[in-house]
Amino acid sequence: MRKHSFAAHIICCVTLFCFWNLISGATATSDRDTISSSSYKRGNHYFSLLPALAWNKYKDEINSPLTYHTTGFLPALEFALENRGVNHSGYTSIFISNQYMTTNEAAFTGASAEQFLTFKFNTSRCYEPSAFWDSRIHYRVGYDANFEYNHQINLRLENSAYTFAIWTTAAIANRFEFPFIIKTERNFGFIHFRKPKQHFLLNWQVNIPLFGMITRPNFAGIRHFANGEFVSNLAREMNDHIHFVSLNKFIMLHTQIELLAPLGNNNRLKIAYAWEGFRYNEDFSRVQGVISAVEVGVMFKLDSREGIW
Amino acid sequence: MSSKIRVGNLQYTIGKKNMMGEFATDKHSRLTGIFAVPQWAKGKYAVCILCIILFSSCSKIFIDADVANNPKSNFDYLWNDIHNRYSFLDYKNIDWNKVYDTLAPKIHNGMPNEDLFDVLETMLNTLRDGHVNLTSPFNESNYYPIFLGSPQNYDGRLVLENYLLRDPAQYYITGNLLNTIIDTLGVRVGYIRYSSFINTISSYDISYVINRFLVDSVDGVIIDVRNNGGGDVGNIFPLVNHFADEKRLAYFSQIKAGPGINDFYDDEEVYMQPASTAYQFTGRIAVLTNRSSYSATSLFSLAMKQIPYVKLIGDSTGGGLGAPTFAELPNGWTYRFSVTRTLSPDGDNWENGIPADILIDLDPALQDQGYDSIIERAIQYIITGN
Repeated sequence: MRKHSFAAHIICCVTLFCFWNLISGATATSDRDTISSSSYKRGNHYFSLLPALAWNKYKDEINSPLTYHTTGFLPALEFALENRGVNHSGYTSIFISNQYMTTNEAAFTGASAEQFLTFKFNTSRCYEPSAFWDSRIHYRVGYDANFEYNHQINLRLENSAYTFAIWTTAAIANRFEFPFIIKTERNFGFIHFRKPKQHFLLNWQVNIPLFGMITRPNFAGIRHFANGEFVSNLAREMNDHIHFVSLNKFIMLHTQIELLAPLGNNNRLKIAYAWEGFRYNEDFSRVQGVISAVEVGVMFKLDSREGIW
Repeated sequence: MSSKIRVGNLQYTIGKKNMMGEFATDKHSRLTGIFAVPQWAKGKYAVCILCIILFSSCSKIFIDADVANNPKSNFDYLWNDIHNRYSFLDYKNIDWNKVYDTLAPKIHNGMPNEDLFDVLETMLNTLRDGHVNLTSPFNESNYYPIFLGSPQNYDGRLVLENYLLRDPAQYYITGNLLNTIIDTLGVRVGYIRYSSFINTISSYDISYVINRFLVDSVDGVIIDVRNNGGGDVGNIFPLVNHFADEKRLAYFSQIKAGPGINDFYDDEEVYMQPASTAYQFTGRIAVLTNRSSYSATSLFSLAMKQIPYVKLIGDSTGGGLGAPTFAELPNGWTYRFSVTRTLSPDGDNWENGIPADILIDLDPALQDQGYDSIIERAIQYIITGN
């Protein structure tokens, strides 16, 4: 029990740290506007709103050996605070999706689709140690802290209908940024540009977790309801089965490719493809999954400084 | 040094960066930079693209291929899962390896689904557990002997005609609780018929019924849960708590914690406590049970049995104190089986049935005369305390 409570404290600390980042990221914007130093060093801050289409594959071996996959493309949402300077990049983001998932066998058994909820909280900051290819590509390295909540609701499985995989990880973040310019003095199809040339930015970030904590359902896969309560029992189950995990037990990769294009009012258009794969290799508690999302949205500039590309 | 690429009516220039960090272009160019690949960097560029493709589409690295779907793999998967997680192999003294040896030879690839279902059903029925089922699109297995090997001990029509409707003005249907006040030679007894724990009991319903009995100053209450096959455990304590005089230990619950035959997590103590409303009945109470009182009804009976002024009357319950988990086979069929066990506060495992305090069967002779001998015995207990 002491191990569990210690783990719970660590999770609390990580969560607080994440929220501190979120809050400080928001307040820093207004504070920094009053500081009379070079905007070149301070970078730009953005609030991003990114509607997305997401699709999942998920296999929770506690209650099924089958892979569940999204039925159709379903909407998701990401919003974030982002900053980008000449030698640093960072973001704090929240991603939410609610998928309906099924198996290939369901076509033969008539099984109804299950619901799958995902909530992700990421905060990352990278600094640029080097650039290569004649400074065309900027390599930035840093950290990413991730909290993720995945919850299956498969009512067909009644007492084991609410399996979950909740984890928090600390990762090394690798970011590659490739700014480029497109000449736009002539119409680009039906698109008319006001400026003769436009800046664009192509980014690719890969987060590789090194360690973290995860909580999974009990060995029996059953929601413990002996006292007839639901929410409190579920919360207690989540708290009772927190485990530290290292790289060999929990493998995860998060990658995001994004293209930024200029919009009016110094805002930016963002088109991104995010992909995440994970697998937890603990015997009798194995869970595996990938989630992909295509996001298209706007980054609203929060400061009045010159835009950095 | 630069070269040009033409795509449709657009012409792109490949070139180097100038002094301003931008890419050199000529007057016809539309796009520069992204195609500006010097000869030496083409290898790295290709590696980068390969990495992006690799990291962006390697779901097979993260998700294993599903277990093969054939009769043998389905049989083995089910056998293994029961072996690892079923909670009563030891209590019921079941040799699970012997079950495998007996049934595995009957499995062969190409066998019809109906035959596979029969073998899997036979395997599951060796567990002698009403909480074990296999569900396919065309059939569902059940273990019936728990209920069929004993007298029925309940006649619904008799109860309706001769007790609930004895005085139609007293017969109320309050939510899912059928209730009345039975007057026997001046002794007034509150009677509650609760037919399934699937049906929700609201706080209002039970409070109303208890209040009704309190206003009438009944001498005791009968709670009839015969033929109640169980349902939602969440309905147990909203009912029990209205009859509890103090906080009491109702039972212990243990969940299977590992593949070992007796691997269980620590006991979870489950308590009853008086309801927060003023509607409490703490006089003599009879709980009527039969072998079809199963699962959540057995848990309810076990909890009520801990209250000193409560007697279980009738036959022992059907048991089913182990809560079932659900899972899927590689072919998509679902199954369930018990993965917990429940112990009384004294440590008794009554998985096969909570024993009645007063054992009595329905008397056919009295039944013909319009009497339910179990209800009559309950009324006698309320009058005499014995």
